[in-house]
Amino acid sequence: MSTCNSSRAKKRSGLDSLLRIGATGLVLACALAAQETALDQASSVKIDLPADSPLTLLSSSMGESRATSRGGALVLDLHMGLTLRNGGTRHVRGVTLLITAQEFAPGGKGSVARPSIDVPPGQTFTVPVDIRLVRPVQQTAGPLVRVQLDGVLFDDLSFFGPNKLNSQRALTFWETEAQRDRAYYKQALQARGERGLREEMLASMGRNDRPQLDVSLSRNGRSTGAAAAAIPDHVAQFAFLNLPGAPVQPVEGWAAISGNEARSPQIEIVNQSGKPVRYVEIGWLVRDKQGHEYLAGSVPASESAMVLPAGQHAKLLQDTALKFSRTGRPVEIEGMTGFVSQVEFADGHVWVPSRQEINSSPLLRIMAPSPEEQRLADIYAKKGLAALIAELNRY
Amino acid sequence: MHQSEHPSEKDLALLAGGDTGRWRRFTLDRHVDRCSECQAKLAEYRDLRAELVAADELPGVNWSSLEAEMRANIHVGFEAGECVREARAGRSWNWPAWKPLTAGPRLAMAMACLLVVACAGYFLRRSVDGIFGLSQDRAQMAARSLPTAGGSAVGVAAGGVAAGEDAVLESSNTGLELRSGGGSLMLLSHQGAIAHQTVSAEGEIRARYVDGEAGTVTINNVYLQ
Repeated sequence: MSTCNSSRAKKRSGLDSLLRIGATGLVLACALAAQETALDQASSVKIDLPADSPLTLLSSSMGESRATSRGGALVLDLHMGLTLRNGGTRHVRGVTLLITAQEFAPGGKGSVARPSIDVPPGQTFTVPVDIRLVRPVQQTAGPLVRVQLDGVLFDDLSFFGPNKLNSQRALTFWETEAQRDRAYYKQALQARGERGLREEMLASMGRNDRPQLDVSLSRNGRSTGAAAAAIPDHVAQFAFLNLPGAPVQPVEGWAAISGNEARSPQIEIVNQSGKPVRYVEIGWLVRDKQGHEYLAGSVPASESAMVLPAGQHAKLLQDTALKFSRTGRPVEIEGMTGFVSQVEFADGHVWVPSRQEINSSPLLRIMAPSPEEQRLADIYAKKGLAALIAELNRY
Repeated sequence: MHQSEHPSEKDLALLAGGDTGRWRRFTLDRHVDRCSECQAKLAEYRDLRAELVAADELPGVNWSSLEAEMRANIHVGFEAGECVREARAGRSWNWPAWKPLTAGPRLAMAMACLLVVACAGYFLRRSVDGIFGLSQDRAQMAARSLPTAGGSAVGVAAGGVAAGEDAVLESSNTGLELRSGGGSLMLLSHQGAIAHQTVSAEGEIRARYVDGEAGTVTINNVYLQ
């Protein structure tokens, strides 16, 4: 044909074949990569609330939750929403849910907490569950995921729940911090007016840009990389930041250092209060060779090991390794600082650093804001100063 | 251009009536766009179709006899196919019989695509198996170490400490990731939200963010064991 060029037609024919092969390959690859199924609520999820729970389940939605089979594992992407009703007589201030796909292995268990809420009796609230878990494909029959209530904290700091995850302690600490921060911002409003409160909020939002480290956490104090293993260990001592009001003071502490990895921290403490203590947590700062300080993590007392009478010493030991990096580069550890961040007394009362102690120390620019401070700053950013003042006046 | 490169009359007729599949229509359109002869034929078919539609009537057809004729043709086609198959069965799998399949780069491309698919499948499987192969072994170890099957979760966690000894939890500005045995799995993704993450040397990482709509704080915890 005069208008059909032979070589061009051959090229097109070849292109057609390539397109067909490519499309077929793509379809096969997608089929292999994503054997996804939407999770059915009735058969996939079991939501367990104790019979005498002050919270009742009104409804739940599975959203875009799905299960993806990959080899011998089932990856569960949960995007659920649980609507709960406060059937008790007190205001709910916090709740924790335990989410389990398999009990004993990494990635099989998670939890979702909702602190800093105020739910009056009879009112409802929603807890979002956005988490990914993994479990064996061939695990025994039954629901894929179990959602359990681990605890509810009320406005009088009383608690209900099995407390498997020590939710009572965590929720009580968060509520104590919330009361502290609301009082601080109310005082700022009274003393310095709206301008003073606005300045405090802007300062809080500015601290969101504080430097953060990427942290790898592994058990048994084992090295998490070949590079760390090649560098000989040395034992480095903690320096301590003493907060005057802390009922417990750190005495001395060490950790094994290999380059950017710190292992098996141990810290000796003394109870300077007149009351027995059952839990202490030490905040852990690291300093790099350029002198920058970062909040690396925390060293808590190990489970059930601690009942520290007044005036007595004890050691906090954790057999873990933390490896630090920033923007993909290892952060060589030049120094470490510890400070007491939380104390729980045997009677259930808790201590957290005061705002004055935080503001007058380097902690202000290093520590993450409390959940309540984060929430109040979010209200200010999204709804303005009037909404923030109204929120503070609710309490 | 060779005559064989042109689409058949049947294809052009089907194209004119919009009765081809998507892929076939795509390839036919590409040819017709460049071929004036086929454009002319296609125009003729379309004109003819328009005339039939305008006439709004079908020629007198004896549908019963047409059906019988079609059935007979189908049977003949099947039998002819059987004859050809028997003849082919007697031949060895020699080069001329397979030439159309092996000629050119098509087979190489097909093999390459299959290789890519197989590799992708292997790595996708490995990424989670790396985590999970370990998990199942450790789970059995941990289960054996439990004093009772119904022990509390705290007891379970203590028994299951060995379960996570090779696993690494990673906290970064993109989310929380679990690594083990060369595999990795993102457990929490921040998806652009500002999140505060805290690492506990006890084997737990917390990620905290404010829910955009409700303005409430949610804290997600993941555990090493």
